[in-house]
Amino acid sequence: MSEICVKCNKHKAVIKMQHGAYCEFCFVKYFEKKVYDTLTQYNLINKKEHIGVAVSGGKDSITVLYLIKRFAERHKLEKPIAVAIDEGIKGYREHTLKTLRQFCKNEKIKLKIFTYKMLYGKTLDAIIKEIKKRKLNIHACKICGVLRRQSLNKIAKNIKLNVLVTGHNMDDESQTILINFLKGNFELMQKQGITTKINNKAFVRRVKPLYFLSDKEVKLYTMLKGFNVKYNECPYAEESYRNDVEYFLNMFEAKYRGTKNAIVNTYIQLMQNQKESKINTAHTTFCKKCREPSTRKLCKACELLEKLYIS
Amino acid sequence: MSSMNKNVVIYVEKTKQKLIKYLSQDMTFDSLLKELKINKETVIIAKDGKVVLESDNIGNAKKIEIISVISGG
Repeated sequence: MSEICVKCNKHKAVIKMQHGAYCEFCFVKYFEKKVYDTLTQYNLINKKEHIGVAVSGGKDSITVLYLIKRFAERHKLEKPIAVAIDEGIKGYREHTLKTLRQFCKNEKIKLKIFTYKMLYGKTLDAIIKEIKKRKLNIHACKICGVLRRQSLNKIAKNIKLNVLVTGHNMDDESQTILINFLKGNFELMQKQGITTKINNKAFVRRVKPLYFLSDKEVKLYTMLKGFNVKYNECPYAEESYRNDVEYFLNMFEAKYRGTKNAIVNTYIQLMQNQKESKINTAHTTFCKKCREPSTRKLCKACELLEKLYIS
Repeated sequence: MSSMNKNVVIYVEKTKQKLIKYLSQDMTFDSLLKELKINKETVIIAKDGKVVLESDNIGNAKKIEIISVISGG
């Protein structure tokens, strides 16, 4: 026997939520309300701000781009633009970018694509080749993540954005919280959250409207809305600490529904007392090489690039 | 009425595997996922193209798609 939606009591349920199962119609309403409530409750975007949405063409960024566009129209905010980074991963990124180009065309959203080649002089494929040639112990995800974070901030400042929206969801965030907890990275932990807590012009504010929605909920939303987002695996993706935490959390969530939600909500409560933490008032130092903000003399990106003699 | 067993096509998106299994119509998708060692938090099930709950029975499904919710990047 199929379950009926607990909300409308009419249609067949398609997803089990913490407090009962929802049909596709009630789920889509719930999902959109959750995103709009997060945007308003946490004042993630203000009037007259230049809004950028960091996009890859994957399910999270396509969803957040679609909903930010609607939110901006509804609240008479500036039109958001989509910002994508092409790392230069043959056989992978061109597919997600194709999806993204088509989506932006259909939705009439301006898309700006920047490449690692343009920003760092080499594609990620070339960087990885170099790493292998030199037999360096640097994982592709590490260098890619560091360069991506740095380049997004640089680009956002360059094109004068006030806020950069990202598609980080509850799975990403609960994993990050747990990773920082397990590794004892308290300082790093304080910098996370729905919005970056750093009050500084050197950083463009980042906000995460999908903070309270899981991977499964986002995927279902894209399917029900008919977005053309396909499973695509990066050729460099391999086992990592994050994969282990992800596996553990999914195992727990399957057995104890609401685990991920409890982690992000407990984190928010804990961090509310940290609002006036050192981070907000900290004196920002800059990397001596690229002049991007960094807590060290040489930022992580320049350090990695120096190892490879790229910068 | 007793349940019948029948051949069902199963497509696992993540591994791109296509399986044909002889399954009972009474079997739930939950049990199928357990048999395939797939965590239900990581997938969405589509029965003949329509999303279903894991607790639903396989019933008269011809094709079952196990769609990955996690991006591979």
